[in-house]
Amino acid sequence: MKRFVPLLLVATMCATAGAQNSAVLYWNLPTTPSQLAYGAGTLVMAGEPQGSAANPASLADVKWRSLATAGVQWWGGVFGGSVAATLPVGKRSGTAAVTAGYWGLGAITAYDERGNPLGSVSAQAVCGGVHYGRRLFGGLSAGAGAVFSNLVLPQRSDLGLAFTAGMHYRWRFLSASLLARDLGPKYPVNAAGRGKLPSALTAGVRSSFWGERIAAGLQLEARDGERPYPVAALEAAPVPLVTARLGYSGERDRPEMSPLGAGIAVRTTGRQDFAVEYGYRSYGRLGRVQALSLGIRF
Amino acid sequence: MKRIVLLVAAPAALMLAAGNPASAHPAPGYRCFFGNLHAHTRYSDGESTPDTAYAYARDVAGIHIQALTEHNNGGIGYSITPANYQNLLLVADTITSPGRFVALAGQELGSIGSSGFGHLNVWETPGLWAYNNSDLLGCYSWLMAQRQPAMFNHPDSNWASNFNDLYFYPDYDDAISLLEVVNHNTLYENSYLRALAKGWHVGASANQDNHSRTWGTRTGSAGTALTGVWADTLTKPAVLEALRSRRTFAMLCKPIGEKFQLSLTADGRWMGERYLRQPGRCTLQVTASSPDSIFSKLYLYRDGVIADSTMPNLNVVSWRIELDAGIGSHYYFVKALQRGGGRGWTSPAFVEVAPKRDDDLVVTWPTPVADQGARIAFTPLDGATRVTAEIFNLAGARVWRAVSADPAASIRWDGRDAQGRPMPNGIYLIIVEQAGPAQTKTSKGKTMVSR
Repeated sequence: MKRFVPLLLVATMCATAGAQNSAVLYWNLPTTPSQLAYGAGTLVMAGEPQGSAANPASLADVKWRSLATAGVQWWGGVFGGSVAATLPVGKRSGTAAVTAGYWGLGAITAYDERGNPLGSVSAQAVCGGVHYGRRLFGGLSAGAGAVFSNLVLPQRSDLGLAFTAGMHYRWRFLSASLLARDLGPKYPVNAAGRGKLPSALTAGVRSSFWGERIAAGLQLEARDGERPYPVAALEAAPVPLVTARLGYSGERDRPEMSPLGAGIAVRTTGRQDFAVEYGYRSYGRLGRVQALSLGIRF
Repeated sequence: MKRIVLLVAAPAALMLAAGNPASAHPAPGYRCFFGNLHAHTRYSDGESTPDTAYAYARDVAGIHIQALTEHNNGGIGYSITPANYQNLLLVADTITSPGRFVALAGQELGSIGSSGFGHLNVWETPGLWAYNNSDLLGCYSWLMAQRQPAMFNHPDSNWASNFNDLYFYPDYDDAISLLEVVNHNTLYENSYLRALAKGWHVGASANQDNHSRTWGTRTGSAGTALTGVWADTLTKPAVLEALRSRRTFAMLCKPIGEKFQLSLTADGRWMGERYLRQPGRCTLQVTASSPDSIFSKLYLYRDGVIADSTMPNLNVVSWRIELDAGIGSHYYFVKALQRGGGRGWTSPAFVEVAPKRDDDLVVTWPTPVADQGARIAFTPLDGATRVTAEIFNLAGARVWRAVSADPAASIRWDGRDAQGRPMPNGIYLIIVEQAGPAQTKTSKGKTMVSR
């Protein structure tokens, strides 16, 4: 436990308004088991390419190629999925990642003002991004990413763009990250009525100990228009190849979301590593969310 | 599939007297009173004084309710002064005699000039509207704050903008409760139909718009215009409640003095009510009665179109109609014709039928939701006393919440979040909880915002 020394990072909160106007709402919705289990804590506990891409500064620590696909069953008849890949560009040139996601938002019966059924309407969203991180000097690295999200509705679509910039420091078993996320133009960029982006500032630390069999992260998340809240994450491998995950979110602006998320991962090791993961979080009266992913690292 | 049952009762048995509140009228729960809700004195552009006008309506015309609605033109020309308005309120209170006569003090707002939006009556507000000739939405907003009944007067496109062509502003739906289907000798039935078709929830009224000494007796070739008001007692609070609730009918009495009674209930609920119901057969009950005049034809209007009719040729009619109410929002009203030329229009019953396919489904009308917002419709729980509606975005954040004490009505969502910001496009989940003394029911639904 002596090795687990949390760092305290003081974050300056930037504040505007419009928390619901996120250009990248569908990018930010979790699609992977670890994102589901850890919530925002994925940014310091990334285990798969999707999570690494969300914190581009930490990509500098990724020295392997990987590919992962994930699917999530959301509440309300909504389903999502994503694929992501990481690719070390060169020995000293850092690591890049690309991500793509899709959300099927379901079909709804359309009605006129008087309640006459007008048939069915459906909606979907596609999102994606490119991300890059590289080491600067010593244990310090930097990264940046650009993401988009396009909400497709009947007879219109809403395009959002956002950017992430961050710093990451690694020293032995400790790492710390400071990220500014969801920076960008007003949303939607292709509409007359646009709202400010609710950018977010994230500061967090991660430490692993006991031969990497246990890892823990602590993070502070502050998004414009919402109350800052802490996030904690714990990962433990009590038996080889099996990892259990537990996440805690202190977020109060989502009253139905359970503060606890959980997950499990099974890995095989060898020339290539394979991983099958599962994550779960309850959203109370809204329903439950569960995700399954398959990944390969080589 | 309709089943019509026409019942006839012997006139003698009902002991009807049109000038007398008809406790024997088949429609239960309320008594019918006759009123004239639109008139003037020399406080604006009419003749004589308020006390004379009220006394005339009570003693000569023999009606139960007389409103004086002096022009409020912001002090221009024939506008009532604030001092005179306060005096009008005082006189109306003094003359009102519970059980015998109710005098209402009111004002006729707005202008029918080239830049005006039209005329609106509102009754028993504590003060005058700060006149603005062209600020229709400001006027609606002020009316909402007064919480008193108000009425579209002589709504006709010949008059100025005619309330922006009766454009329906959902946020101000509650500002107006009545529409003048008849003003003296002129019919505005088409405007009644148009206002209802556009979405206004307004009831029917007929008035004389007196400018001379004929309060309650002004008659033209079409007849004598009066409003029938169904109230539980002849008191000012009860009459105002009835006007707010649209428990009224418009009538043109012909021959002169031949007042009649007309009412409509839907599923036992009085005309004027807005209520949610489960899918199934809807029962409408029409009652019409007159001391002598024969009702030659009754028309049932459904969503602005004649859906049924009957030719009773009787002076007392009870007409029961059963029909399948399709999913959606509907309004029903009845138009009655008398052999002697008299005519009447009931206020509509506003029926909202929630979707049938899923007992726990919540929907929004319209879907997708745009700038005008929507009504949240759900299958009502019998005996519910409290309804809570919440809207969540896909991230799980609750963006809006409303609590209603009226479990039988749909809930209006203006399409904005709790801070009043327009909700961005996307998919949202709705949870409606209906709580009653015995049980609680939770229903869910999904909606789409697309502006």
